[in-house]
Amino acid sequence: MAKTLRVQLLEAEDVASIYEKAVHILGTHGVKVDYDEALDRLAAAGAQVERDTRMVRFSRENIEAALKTVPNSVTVKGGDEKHDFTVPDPSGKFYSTTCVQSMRYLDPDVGDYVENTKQRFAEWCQLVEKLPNIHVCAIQTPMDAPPETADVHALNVQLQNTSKPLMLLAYCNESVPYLFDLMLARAGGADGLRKRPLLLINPTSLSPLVFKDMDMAQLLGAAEYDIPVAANSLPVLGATAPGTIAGTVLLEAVELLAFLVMSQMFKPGLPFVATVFNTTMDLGTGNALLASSETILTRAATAQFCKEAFNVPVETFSLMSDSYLPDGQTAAEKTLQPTILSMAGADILYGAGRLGGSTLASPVELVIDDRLFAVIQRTVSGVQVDDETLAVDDIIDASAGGHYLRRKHTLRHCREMIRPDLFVPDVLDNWVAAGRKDLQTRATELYRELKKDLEPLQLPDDVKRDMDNVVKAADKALIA
Amino acid sequence: MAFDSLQKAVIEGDGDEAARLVQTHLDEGVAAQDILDNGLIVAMDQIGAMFSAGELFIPEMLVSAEAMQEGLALLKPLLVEGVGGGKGTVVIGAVKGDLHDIGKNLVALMLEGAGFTVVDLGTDVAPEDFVEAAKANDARIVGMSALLVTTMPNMKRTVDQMHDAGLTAKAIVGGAPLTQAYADEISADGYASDAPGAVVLCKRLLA
Repeated sequence: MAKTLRVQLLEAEDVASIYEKAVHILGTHGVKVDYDEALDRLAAAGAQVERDTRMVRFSRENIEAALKTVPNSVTVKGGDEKHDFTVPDPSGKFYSTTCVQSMRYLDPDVGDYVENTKQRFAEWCQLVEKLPNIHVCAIQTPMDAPPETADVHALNVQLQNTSKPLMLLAYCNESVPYLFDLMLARAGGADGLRKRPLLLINPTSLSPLVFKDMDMAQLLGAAEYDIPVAANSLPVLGATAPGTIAGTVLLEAVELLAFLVMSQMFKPGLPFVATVFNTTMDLGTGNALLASSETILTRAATAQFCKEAFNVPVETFSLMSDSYLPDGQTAAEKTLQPTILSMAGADILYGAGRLGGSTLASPVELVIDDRLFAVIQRTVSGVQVDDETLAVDDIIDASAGGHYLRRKHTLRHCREMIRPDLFVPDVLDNWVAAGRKDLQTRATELYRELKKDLEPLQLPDDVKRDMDNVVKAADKALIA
Repeated sequence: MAFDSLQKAVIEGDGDEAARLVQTHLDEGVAAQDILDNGLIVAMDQIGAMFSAGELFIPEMLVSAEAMQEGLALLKPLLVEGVGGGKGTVVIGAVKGDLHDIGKNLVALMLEGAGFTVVDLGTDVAPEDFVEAAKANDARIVGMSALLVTTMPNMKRTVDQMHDAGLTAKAIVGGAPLTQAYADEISADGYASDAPGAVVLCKRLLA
């Protein structure tokens, strides 16, 4: 059996040391939880809650109990069961998520950055539906939606345009109930949502060590409807985390462990994915670096730590770039990161379609990333060694100077090699005759080809009406 | 009066030495305003220039700003017209919904170091609170910060409410996802990409 390639950044004693220090910090200092209902629930579940400071401390017993109930694998379900997947994958395969919250969109038809809109986001979701290596569709920011309810409008777009699992982040505490109402409308009620949760819900810590109201509301909602949680820690090394890789790994470990314990206190057995989203501050400029060496090392070490110390699936920022153009830097960064991070054990790689910064998305880049995933997936899958693959008889039979093109063995295996259409080389003369097209041009052509067949989901009229009514209710209640 | 040693202490981030030298100058009869203008503020201008040239990192700039504050604390009670001799008041805060304050705090520190009076409203500041504070403090500039793309629209609301209230204070914006184009779009008076840039911007707007 092929052995998936793995890198190990931390020794066993490093993992043990980080875990012990995380337990120490959670038990002595604690974390701040800024949500009354969560404080009530945590106190009832045995955490030490200090009401005036809103600090919550977790004992070793709290932590060990949570680590016993948290599932070691998570099945992520979309609107259509054909898109369901389970992490960790037994064969070592990883899965992908698109980038999130993009306000700007590199529109190939305009040739420049334009505002993301509900229409463009709908097209994005439909494109995700067509791409075989993109598994989760994350929320974007439609700038033509009211700012107060942009997340509600965006989730409505997601639910009506892709049947793949979704990634959801609330934009404010007030919108959280409407987000759940939308999910309930799409799923046909609470039982339907529990059976098919449609998404991963992503509460996020405010590093260092703060958990905001809207994130706790999302976590409580996830617990109510058995929705898998992909809890994010996204500290900035040097700014909201210590200025060292190890210190940032420890801070992430503390925040993710706190999320894990809280999730299990709210609902023992709630599926949980540790999501590692750290960046690094360039202390010469203040910019957050999404793809620097320190950033990648921190994510890889935290991913390994969470796998070994918590035994839960891990998601990481992976297809990020600090370049604002789909250029060579983007290609280099988007290759190095997912390769290293998948080898560090990440189960879900986040960021397909992202360009530099935190606000830019490109559908052409999404197409490239889809194909890039296939290349990386194959490359890290290792080498299978057995009698069949060693082909001893064929080597002898072909003899010296022979070839293998007519061998039955080659025939049996000739379709195993991946041929990602964007990267297959042609002979030079053919490539010149075809117009000397670079990767961007080829990807843009593929995007345009795919675009011809894009369409929204065919949902029942009453479901769509109910969902649209939720959006209207949110607009009515939340727009100032 | 030469303030070379004081400037060196600030640039090197030696707060104890900066405070000691400020006290020495005061004991020698040097005017507080002179020490501020020609010692501390000159040092902070140099620090801003060094940062912009890539010679200083943010933690080094911070420790210098804190050293400057230690010297400034001795001068504040002696300055007749307030810190900076009336360079102007800046009301600053992270906009509603945004709890991220590292960049905003750095800008506040650098502005104070440059001689502005800073009223820091903290984080999650509603548009009406910016307007009220600007009125109450006779602010000449209102500085807004956002880290989240989702809170950026609250900058526009704040600018709109400033205009509706008839404020003459200039509105400036900054934060990781911000751009000059966005500042122009929401009719802000200025944008800076880093803390020293914010100081330069404020000086230019009030020149």
